[in-house]
Amino acid sequence: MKNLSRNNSTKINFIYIMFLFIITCSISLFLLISSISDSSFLLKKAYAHAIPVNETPAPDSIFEKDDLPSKVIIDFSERPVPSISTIQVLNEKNERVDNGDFVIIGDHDREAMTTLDTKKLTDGVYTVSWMAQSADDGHIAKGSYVFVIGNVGVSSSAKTSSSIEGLANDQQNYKVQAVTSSLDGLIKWPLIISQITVIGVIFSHLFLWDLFGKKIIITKNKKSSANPGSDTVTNNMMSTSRYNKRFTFILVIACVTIIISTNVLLFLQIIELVPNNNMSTHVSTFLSLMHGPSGFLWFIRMVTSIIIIVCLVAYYYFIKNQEKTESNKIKSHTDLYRFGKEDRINSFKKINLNNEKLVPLLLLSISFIAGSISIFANSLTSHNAAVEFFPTIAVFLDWIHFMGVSLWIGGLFYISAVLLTTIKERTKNRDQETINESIEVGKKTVIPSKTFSLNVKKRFIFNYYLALLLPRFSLIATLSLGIIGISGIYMAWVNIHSFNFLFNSDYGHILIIKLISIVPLIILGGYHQLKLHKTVVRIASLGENGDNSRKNSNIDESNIIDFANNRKKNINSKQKQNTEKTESNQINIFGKFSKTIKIESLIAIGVLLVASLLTTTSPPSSSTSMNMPSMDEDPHTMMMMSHDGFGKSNNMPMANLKNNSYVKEVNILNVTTKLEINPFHSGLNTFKITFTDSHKEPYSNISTVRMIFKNEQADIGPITKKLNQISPGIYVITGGYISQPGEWNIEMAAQRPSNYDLNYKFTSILNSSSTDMSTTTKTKTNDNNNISRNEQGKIIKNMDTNNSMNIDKLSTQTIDVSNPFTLSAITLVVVIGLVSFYSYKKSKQKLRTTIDLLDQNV
Amino acid sequence: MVTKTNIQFIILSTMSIITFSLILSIVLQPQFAFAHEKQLVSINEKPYLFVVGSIGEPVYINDKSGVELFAYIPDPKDPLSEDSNVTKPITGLEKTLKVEVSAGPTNKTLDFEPDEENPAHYTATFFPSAETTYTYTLTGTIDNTPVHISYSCVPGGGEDDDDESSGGDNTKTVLSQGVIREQMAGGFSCPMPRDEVTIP
Repeated sequence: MKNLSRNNSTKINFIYIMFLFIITCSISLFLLISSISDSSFLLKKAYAHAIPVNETPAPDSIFEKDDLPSKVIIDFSERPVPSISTIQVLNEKNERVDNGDFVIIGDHDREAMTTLDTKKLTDGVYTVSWMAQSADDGHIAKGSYVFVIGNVGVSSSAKTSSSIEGLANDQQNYKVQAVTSSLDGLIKWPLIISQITVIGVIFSHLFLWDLFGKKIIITKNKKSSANPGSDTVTNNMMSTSRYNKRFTFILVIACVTIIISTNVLLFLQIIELVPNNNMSTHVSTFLSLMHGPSGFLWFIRMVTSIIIIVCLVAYYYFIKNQEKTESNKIKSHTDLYRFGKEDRINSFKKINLNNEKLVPLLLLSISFIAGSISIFANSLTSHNAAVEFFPTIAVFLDWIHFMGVSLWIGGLFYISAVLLTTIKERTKNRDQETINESIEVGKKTVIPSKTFSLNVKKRFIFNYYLALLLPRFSLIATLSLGIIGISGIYMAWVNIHSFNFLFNSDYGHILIIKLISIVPLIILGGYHQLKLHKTVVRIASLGENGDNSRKNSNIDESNIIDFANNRKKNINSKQKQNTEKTESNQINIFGKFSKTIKIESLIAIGVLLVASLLTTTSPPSSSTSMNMPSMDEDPHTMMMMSHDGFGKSNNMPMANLKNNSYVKEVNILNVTTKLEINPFHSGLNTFKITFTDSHKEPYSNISTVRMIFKNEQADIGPITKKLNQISPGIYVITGGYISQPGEWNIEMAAQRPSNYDLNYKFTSILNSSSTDMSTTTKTKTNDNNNISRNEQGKIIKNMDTNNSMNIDKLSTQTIDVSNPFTLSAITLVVVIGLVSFYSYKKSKQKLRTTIDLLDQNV
Repeated sequence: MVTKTNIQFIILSTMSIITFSLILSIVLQPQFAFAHEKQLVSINEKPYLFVVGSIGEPVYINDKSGVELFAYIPDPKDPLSEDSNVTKPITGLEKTLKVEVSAGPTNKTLDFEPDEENPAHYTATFFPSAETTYTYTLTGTIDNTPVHISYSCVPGGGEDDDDESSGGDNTKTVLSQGVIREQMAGGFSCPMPRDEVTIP
């Protein structure tokens, strides 16, 4: 009686351990890859596209004839791929004035340089056009800016300025455009569906079928008067060969789709990079792409897909041969029925030898691991690989997220496209023949031999199977949803940072659509688990009780509904009528389930479309780290930068960043020091420090000015940057040194010849980089240190504790120490974790209860 | 077959793989080592490698610290390397060389103490008491040539991020007659206020 429970329990544990083993092996593989790849591949500071952080010559800069620039250097946010990326400098006649010697320089491989042919440099406006493919995520971006040599047109600086402004207004020369477009997202759609299918179908096959479903055996004993006791045949509930054919076919199709999509994606990149029809350029671009991240992804996807195909074909033929052997063995037991149940069980055991199980399990495990690697390659080149906050964790969670989605949605695909379809086909193919047969699940008989239509029996047995399948799949679904929820929230947190970005960026909008579109999936899942399952269990137990009753009353097929009604003979006639209808409907519950599970699968495919579009949309933490694109802008426009000093924007969509500058004027050792940070958010900022003496004149007795940035919580820094002197007493630098929200210690140190340094430091908590920025700042200067000398000339330093800390409130808006987005994320993680755990426990309990309930009725 | 031994084997092998991977990933992390500034100086056309920094970095204000100098005859193939087999220590510099420590408008000249265990190592102890840039200037004579080689700390710790290149600055600079700085690399941090680490 309890054998099935124990048997199932052992197998669940085995599957669980196998799953754990595969996951941990994959984690180890991930760690190894990340280690071997010199950490630079994963542990880098980068954005979602390779975009300029710093340029030399700076945009809008004006050069005198006797001080011509000899090279153009662009410091990108990510490592540009040298074989693809370019920097071109064009004069007003659209002629190239660079030497075409693009090269990567510097330690971080993010700086690119090209030299200029100074002989070609005359008075005029020059356009620097750059195009970069990120070696980190494979995305391509391009843009341009201008600089000026000498006098342009009428020889006045005012004219020059207006010329530059005119170019800026043109919005051609300042834009950074993401070349990687939504079309890439559309092509990624079938790719992602296929990757998910591979993982989900293999896992579900092992978890729902291999060690569970195929144990449901129908023993036909054509012990008719015409042919008494002469032929005994044991079949699975559905034809194993048909099932395996479909299972293999679906997976092979998925792998072929991966191969096609990967190649189309590569082809699309070539088209995007080389708009003209020059074949030789296409070939050279293809070769260049193969050496970059696109080539890496292409290689991984191709190799893993081919491995999976080979394994599956081998698996298919192995199972086919095994079936033949099995069939021969069974046929040899002509007197199987006479040996009774125990003999059949022993025979079953003998046929399913461990060695015969090992090879298919090994082949499927290899396919599963290959599929996991294919998904891991996606994660390595995702937005999460480019975050600054522990990219390794983000990449790992991206992979875990994808795996969770695969188990859940891939499981849905498996049930609707493989399992139910095969059952349906099987049912259709059978006539309403009346034969003597019994149906077994594992070692026990669910419906003993009686004279019934096979279809009626099948309905019962399918309900029986469904009653066990639903809570079993629920284990996967609840666990996956927990993993998806927690990892998804983390990724949203590292990529979005604030509610403002969630509601006001393309990335945020797509994410919201994705979240909304998941809701019907969860509702349908709940319907299956809560309502449908209850009905199914009732019918399944009805079938068995009915069987017991039938033993005494010799009920035939036509009496099934009457039999059901007899169970409720205490109810009145009106209720009785309704019950009849209900019971009748319940018989077809299997058909209902088939429909709803298919609807669920279709919705899931829609969700995956949204997810694939999300992969090609820049998250706001990178694309809008400087500013957010207004909603009516070109969706491909990522950003426009101002590098022309301070407080002035060149047609930048800065509306939402107004009032977010940091301005602080302090007197340090009798030098008035004014520090301005604009726009003072996480991302690119311009830092300007002005020194004036007591006469309000520029203070020039300064050798070097540095700024030091530290974020101890995120283990960033110290980042020490030397500021550039743009005029006496004024120092400026622009860069993404405040790379993320959090608590930043920012320090200024101005070194003075033969005098003490001017030090100023403050701590600022940046909650987001946008309008809802709440900033708390603590400041400290070395003025408070009262440095003085005693008569012996010894330096005496007294800390003025009263003045050691001042708290300045910078934001004109609400001051809040905690970021509400972070708090919400933490709360959601806890809630999802608890709900998932609770649901998992409930599903496990439901599975046990169902098994026990059905066991008791045999 | 699921047996206790099999489960134990799976768990143990999994744990081993993870542990090995973690160790490997830690070992292969990039190393950051700069805490001193190197200057390759040519004195009367003879190369010298002087490596200077503060004792016990990171240095906190009012803590015992000092100047430490490592002096070598460099390896011509890898002149900035201290670990080359060809590199030779320069001994006896305490007799001809002093260090002038300057902080703001004040300065103090200190004698070098040789290190008995390391012939290339010299130290001069002092207590930094202000949060400012400290400049260590090697003064005296080397090979009978007057030298005046300065090293300044960098506020905020280490070198500027812009100068991280291990190759450093290759600009040749004439420091005084017969003394040319050929190369410089690295950096060391200025003393930091104690309150950043003081408890309670």
